[in-house]
Amino acid sequence: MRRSYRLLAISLLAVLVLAACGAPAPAAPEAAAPVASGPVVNRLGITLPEDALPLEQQVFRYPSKEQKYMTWDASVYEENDGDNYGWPDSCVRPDKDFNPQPNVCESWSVSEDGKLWTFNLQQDKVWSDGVPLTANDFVFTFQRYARADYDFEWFYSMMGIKNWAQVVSGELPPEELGVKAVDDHTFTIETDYPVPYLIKIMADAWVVPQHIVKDRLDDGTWALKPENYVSAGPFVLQSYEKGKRLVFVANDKYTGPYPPMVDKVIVEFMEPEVRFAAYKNGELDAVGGGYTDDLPPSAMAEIMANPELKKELISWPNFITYYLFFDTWNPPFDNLKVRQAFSHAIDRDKIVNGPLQYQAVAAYTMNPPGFPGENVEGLKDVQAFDPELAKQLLAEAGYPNGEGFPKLTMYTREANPALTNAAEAIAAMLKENLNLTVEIQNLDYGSYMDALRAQKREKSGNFLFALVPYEFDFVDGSNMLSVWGGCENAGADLSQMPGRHTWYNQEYNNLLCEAGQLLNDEARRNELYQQAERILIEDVALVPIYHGIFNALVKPYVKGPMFEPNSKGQVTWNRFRFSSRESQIYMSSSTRE
Amino acid sequence: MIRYILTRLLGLLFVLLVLSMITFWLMHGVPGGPWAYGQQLMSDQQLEALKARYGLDKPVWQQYLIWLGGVVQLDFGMSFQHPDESVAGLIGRTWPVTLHLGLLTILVAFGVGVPLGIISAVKQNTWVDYLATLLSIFGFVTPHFVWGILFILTFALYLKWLPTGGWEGPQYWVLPVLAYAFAPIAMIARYTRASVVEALRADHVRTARAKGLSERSIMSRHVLRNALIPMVTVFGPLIPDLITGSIFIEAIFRIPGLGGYWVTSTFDRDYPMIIGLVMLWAVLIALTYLITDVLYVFLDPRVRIR
Repeated sequence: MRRSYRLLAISLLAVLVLAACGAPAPAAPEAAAPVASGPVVNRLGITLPEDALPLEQQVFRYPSKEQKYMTWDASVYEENDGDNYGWPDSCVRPDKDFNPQPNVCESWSVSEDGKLWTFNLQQDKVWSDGVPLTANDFVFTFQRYARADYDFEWFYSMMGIKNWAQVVSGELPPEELGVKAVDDHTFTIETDYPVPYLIKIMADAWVVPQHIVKDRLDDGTWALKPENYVSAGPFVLQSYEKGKRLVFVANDKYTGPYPPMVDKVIVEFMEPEVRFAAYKNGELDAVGGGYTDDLPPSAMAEIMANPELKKELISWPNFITYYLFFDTWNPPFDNLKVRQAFSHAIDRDKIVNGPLQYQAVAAYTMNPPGFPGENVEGLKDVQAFDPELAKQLLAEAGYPNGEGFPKLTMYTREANPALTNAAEAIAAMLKENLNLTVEIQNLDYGSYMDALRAQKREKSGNFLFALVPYEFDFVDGSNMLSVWGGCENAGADLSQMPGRHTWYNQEYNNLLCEAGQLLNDEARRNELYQQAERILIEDVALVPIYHGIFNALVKPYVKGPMFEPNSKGQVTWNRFRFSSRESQIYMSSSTRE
Repeated sequence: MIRYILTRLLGLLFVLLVLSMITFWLMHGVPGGPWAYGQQLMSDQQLEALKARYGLDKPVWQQYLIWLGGVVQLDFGMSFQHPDESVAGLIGRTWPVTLHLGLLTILVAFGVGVPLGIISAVKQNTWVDYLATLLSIFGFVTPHFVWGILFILTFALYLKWLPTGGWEGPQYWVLPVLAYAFAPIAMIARYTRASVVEALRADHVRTARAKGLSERSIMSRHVLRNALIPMVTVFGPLIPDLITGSIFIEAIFRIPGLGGYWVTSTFDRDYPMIIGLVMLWAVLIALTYLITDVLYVFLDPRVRIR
């Protein structure tokens, strides 16, 4: 017995010593940068610039969250990063000013009546398994997008493709869809009406490998099998270490205008809260630039105070609007004066100069500055901050000094720290300026969307008031305004009207509908969008609060065409979908200016 | 004894059945579904298509029977979060990592906590005792994610000794184990101290001293053995807690373990995974109490199972 206690004591001591000593430190993550001897040529045979690090150091690492699916055609909201550069390729690619440029589709034309588009494909394009990419792959792609359980089906429905709704519902077979192959390298898209922005949506025509997927109704698991790792893009998946990372390598079969320079892209799975620390410790080459909160207000304060980090910072305005919306079909927000009172009671400047410094600019419109059809100058005074006017309007609406006003809950949807700060500031301003009590409640995505849907479908009014963002999908005046309406189906019930919120205006819908089908006259279209937005803002369908600014940190040894400014002089760090980013960078032995 | 254990296990089956029913109804009562919502409001047709895809278009009682039918054949269904993995497969992939972390943590927690408790009991009301108490209180009141962040700041960012996270080798284990072990160390040290102090005051210890036994012999044979009984009661339930992981520790240190799934399964409405985890937890807790009860027999001659 005694001996066993001694043994126990010794082993406990051993554990103690082990715990105290720890283990050897890892290799220094930021290795010194040896210059390559001779030119660096990657596996596509592309010669990298002279200052490039050796090929084995051409590895770019950034963080992301692990998701359910791998590919765009499975789910757009629940797919892993690499979805755009490591699996498919798109018909066209946006340049730095979001203008569509040839990609897999080398050229295109549209018929006189604007209802038939013809696309000509690159001749020598193959998948990474060597199988040629043909027009039939694009036909299959659209047939695959046209399925009821696809979460991005709504986006492609905006293209007005002939028989779209009937194929989605299963009334017509997929062969009846208005997308047809003419020959191996040509396909056409027939639409029900002219769609001037169709070419912009073609930047998101991410081609699906028909010879691999086969079943257009596949549940999306096809891409989780290693034997199905095929790509038409600049990279191809090498390994998926579940719970840890994705490793993409340059696709040596890639031919096209955006060949990769780096040899590998590694997507490290980690929660937003720990990414900044990992970046500072040299475990990542870039962080931020999305609207997950990689760089929360606390990180921004640290970056601004640190000259080294500040040099690595890239900031650019994002086309995203955070807005308050109301249930205008039920009291108390069916009264315009109440909504106006709210719109004048919120001091946006205080919010964007306070808790959201470096992350936002004040918003008075749905369309952000620089977006087609925007009218920031013309509308900025409609909802200007004016607490006296706000009080007066609330009194005129029958609630002098907030008396008798129902207790409110302001909902947010999976709010990040910045949004929570903004919500708290708004609640405080409503208390201070209108003497209203507002409680904030954050909902997870599912609960929020169910409540939003119920509010519109049942016109119930249980879900009165919320603060949420909307980020653009393509740069066209129609895109962000479509949140609030669109072409009406004659005689439809209010609950079935286009738009997601409980606000309705026939004139607004007519303007959007007219502009959405107007071909070859962008100026006139944008004029119509400006008229529509005036209605939206004057009727206080929403109270815009702020437009987001994206912030990213990129290590100074990352260089390449990605860092050339756009026509407005802005350098951005947009994700591949909007920038072809992973093809536009390499690892250098020198630092960027 | 064997009969006693068998009876307890049979009782567990009944508990699991009732628990699974309650969990099933509760989780399906929460709004939302396992699908991606996107930005647009879904049409009725879309919603129907999605429900059918996940097998949620049938009444809840039917879904329950289908699930139960699978469980009888040891099939717990496919996870919704990882559509290519079964619930059993997903737990089988992630739990070993969490077990690894949990066992290391238990080793450190007991390795530090028990001696700390014994020392402060023996050196009662001296500076050693006060220091140990102070440490324990710190451990108690500070959540492990705060330790985690402090350790990252200190050992990764400031001293550059260790990586901020990941799970690739021994140097990646140090910080999460220490952060995770802090609270259990505190708890173990406090309970050990209390038990040992009480045992030290017992009559038989005074008798042992009176008859001239060596101090070491008194401690090992008379004090510690008696102090173990209350300790087992308290420490038993600590173990299932530590070996099933913590979302905070695993998220902060990027550990690909099971810890996160206790939370993400709920957010993602991963129904098969939720109920799978609830069953796992129930079994672990029940087994721990069973083992604790059986241990009493060995530790305390007064306890007999009939």
